[in-house]
Amino acid sequence: MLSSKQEIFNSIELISIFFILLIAIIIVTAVLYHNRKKVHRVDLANFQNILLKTQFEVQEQTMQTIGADLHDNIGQLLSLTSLTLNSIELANTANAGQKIETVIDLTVRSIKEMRLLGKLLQGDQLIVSGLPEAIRYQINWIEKSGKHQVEYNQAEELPAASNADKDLIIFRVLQEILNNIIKHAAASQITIDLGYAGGSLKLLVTDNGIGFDSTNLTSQSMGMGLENIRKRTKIIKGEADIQSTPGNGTEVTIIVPYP
Amino acid sequence: MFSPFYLFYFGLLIFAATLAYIAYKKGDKKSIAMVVLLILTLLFEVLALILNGRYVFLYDLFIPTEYMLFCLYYWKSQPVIKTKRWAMLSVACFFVFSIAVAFMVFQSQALYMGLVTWNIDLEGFLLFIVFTHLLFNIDDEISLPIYKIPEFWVSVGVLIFYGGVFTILGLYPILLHVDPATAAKKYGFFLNPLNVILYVCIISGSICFLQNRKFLIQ
Repeated sequence: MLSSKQEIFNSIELISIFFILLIAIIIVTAVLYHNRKKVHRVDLANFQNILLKTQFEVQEQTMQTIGADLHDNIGQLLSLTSLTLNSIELANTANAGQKIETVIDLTVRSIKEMRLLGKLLQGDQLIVSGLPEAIRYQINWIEKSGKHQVEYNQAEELPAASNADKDLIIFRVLQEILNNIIKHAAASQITIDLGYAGGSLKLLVTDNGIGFDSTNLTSQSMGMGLENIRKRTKIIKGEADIQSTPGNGTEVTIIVPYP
Repeated sequence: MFSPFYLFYFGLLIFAATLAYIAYKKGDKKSIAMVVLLILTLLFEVLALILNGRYVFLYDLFIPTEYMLFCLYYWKSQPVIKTKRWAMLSVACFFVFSIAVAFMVFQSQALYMGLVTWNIDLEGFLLFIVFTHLLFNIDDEISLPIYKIPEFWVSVGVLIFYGGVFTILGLYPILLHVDPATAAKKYGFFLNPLNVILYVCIISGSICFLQNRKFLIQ
């Protein structure tokens, strides 16, 4: 009788201790949950920060392109138009007619270039029409200088984008790669391959430039550009691989979960 | 008149109430619930000791008041309106239940011991749900570790106390029939330290608020 009473009280003690342990587990779980929430919040803040920076850089890049094009292209066309008009001699009708035809041609070309510039001013709206479209637009502007020939290959079926922010970051990474090629590579041929497999988007950019030792960067600006590429890719849970040797061009591979 | 433990216990209650009042005056509006709760607890505990176990059904009036004040604290800490409404609805239901129980207890003294403890168990079960929800939904927007937020300590104290006394209170009427002396001893063995833990946690919460306020002002 005494031992059964003791057993009852011992059981109650054990059950109470079990409940307290259960509560300890709940409290530890809550602490871990809040810590993870904080880490996630920091990651989100970093992402927003980089996204804002990316948007600003895309706009800045657009403005630089517009400025260069206004000076190099439209400015030249309008100067030529003005010179041609000034050189018209009304007495020489045959010659004047030819020159007026030339002026009309120059004016039409200027208007065409201005319209293209207008579209470019809608800079980040390129992303709204899709990443492939934005890439094609960027390629057009590079080829206009005549210094680089760009070959673009795109997978037949790309999934529809559901995250414009991710597209913007991928586009900015591509711009960074192309800027590096234009500034440092002295390349004549650039190949851009946009593929999709196994839930990941693969962007491969190769050039036939002078290359560099990717393990030992000499130029600080080139190093920072490549570091930016890696950082931006990491923020969208992707990987960036940069392979280059002096004299053998450069190959940059970006793999990102998509969409 | 009072044992050393009870003197320490009442001192702890007074200290906790004082700190909660200071926190209230310094801007922590929800601490008013703690101030009122702690003062009422002190009064009831003193009354219970003086009455020496008679008129235990008075606990049926104190328990819903205690539950209401804890829910008021939760209500002021929780931003989501839907959960706040559910908490206040549960207060109304629990009040009705407790008044009914108090009436039944008054009618039949044979039932009273069981129903008082089951009332506290039901309160504990409801508070367990409420404060677990608060623990996982603490507003931690400011960059402070979770253990520096007052609501964390109040939640921890409530969960430990009501989780720890759940079994002993639920089975107390049966234990009284089995062995009254051991039952009373075990009751004190569990309740006394858990009470101390609860009020130490409430004190920690008030201290956290006062320290954070200094940090935010700087």
